[in-house]
Amino acid sequence: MIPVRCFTCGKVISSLWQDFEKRVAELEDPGKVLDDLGVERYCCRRMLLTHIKLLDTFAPYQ
Amino acid sequence: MDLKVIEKTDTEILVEIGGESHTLLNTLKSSLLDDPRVEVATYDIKHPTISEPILFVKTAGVDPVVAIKEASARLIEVYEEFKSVFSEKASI
Amino acid sequence: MDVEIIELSDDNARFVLTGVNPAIANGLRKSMLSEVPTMAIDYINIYDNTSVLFDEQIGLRMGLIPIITDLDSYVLSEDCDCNDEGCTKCQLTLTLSAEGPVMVYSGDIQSSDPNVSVADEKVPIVELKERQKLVLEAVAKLGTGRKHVKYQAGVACGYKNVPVITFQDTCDACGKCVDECPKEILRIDGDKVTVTDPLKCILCRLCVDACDIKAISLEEDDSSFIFTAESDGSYPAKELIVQSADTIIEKAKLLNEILESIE
Repeated sequence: MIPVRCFTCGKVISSLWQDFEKRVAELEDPGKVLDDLGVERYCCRRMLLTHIKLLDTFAPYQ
Repeated sequence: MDLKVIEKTDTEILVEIGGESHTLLNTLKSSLLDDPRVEVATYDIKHPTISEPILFVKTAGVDPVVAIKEASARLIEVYEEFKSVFSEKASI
Repeated sequence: MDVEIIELSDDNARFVLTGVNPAIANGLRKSMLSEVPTMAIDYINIYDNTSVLFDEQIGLRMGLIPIITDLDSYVLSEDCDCNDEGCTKCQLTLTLSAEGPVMVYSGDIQSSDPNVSVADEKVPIVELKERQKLVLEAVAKLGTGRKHVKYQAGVACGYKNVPVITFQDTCDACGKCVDECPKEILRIDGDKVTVTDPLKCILCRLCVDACDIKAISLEEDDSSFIFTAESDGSYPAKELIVQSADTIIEKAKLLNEILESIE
């Protein structure tokens, strides 16, 4: 799961994740999507850019 | 807030202000130094997580407790002014 | 003292504060970050959790969800009449129950107080697969950022001094500084260079270095501050700033009262 807040500044970024994920899957430029979502600082940007979804990997072993 | 007077003479005071941090102490110190009757005003937090701040004030004659009280009153004035100016500008 | 507001929205504020000393500005900044009381989940009872996340991880995620803070109806638990035992004046009970397959959002949390709820309803808590369940009860309390980041209402609050860029008469308007400026705030105006918006300057000094004849000087105004404040949603930005000033005022008043009594 995407962390609720940015590790560095504390901005709530998890609520933007699904939007971000969907738009990047539609081959939009991630940088432009982040600009559009109002994620300004690079601490918050890396939270979304570098996140790897692991939940589906773990789910079968529950 | 938990005040403990460690040492006090007619012109000097060493007081521990428990439960407070740089937020109050630093502003208070600068406010104390605005007073020409105050010769020395400084504070120390020995360890950032386990110590309480200790404030030292030395004045040229006036009771240091009075000096601290007046400095604190000046702080209230400054921030009250900020509040009213900011609220006024923000509501336009 | 003067305030000039550059930008003010629900969770964002930028303003210039002039005519105060740095200690006053710093007090305001620190107060926004660590002294303003904020509501956050502090305790949870997990009745059922068969999701892929451990109980502790659910707890962490719940704690970080911003909750709208209502200082008129709630007080800090250490200031409460109930002596920190927990009552309706210092605690808010929330419940959450969900069954998969579903994505559980912060908006699914049910609050016992109709006036207070989560500030952001789109925070994903956990994704539940087929036959997975999550049932829990949470208690939210007021706290200050000094105790834990979850009580920190101000996000990335800070200030910088107002930059003062001056050009000497020797400036020959060669345009090197104009090309160098990353914020593009310098412009050639006839035979001299002018600054279009000094507030946008990031004090990088590239223009000073680019000038071969040292005709540019960049200084900081010690009594003017450009503040940036962002709220996590628990307060509107305007209220956060007013509240941070209020918090210092209250501290100073309390100090005066105590000094009055020891004399």
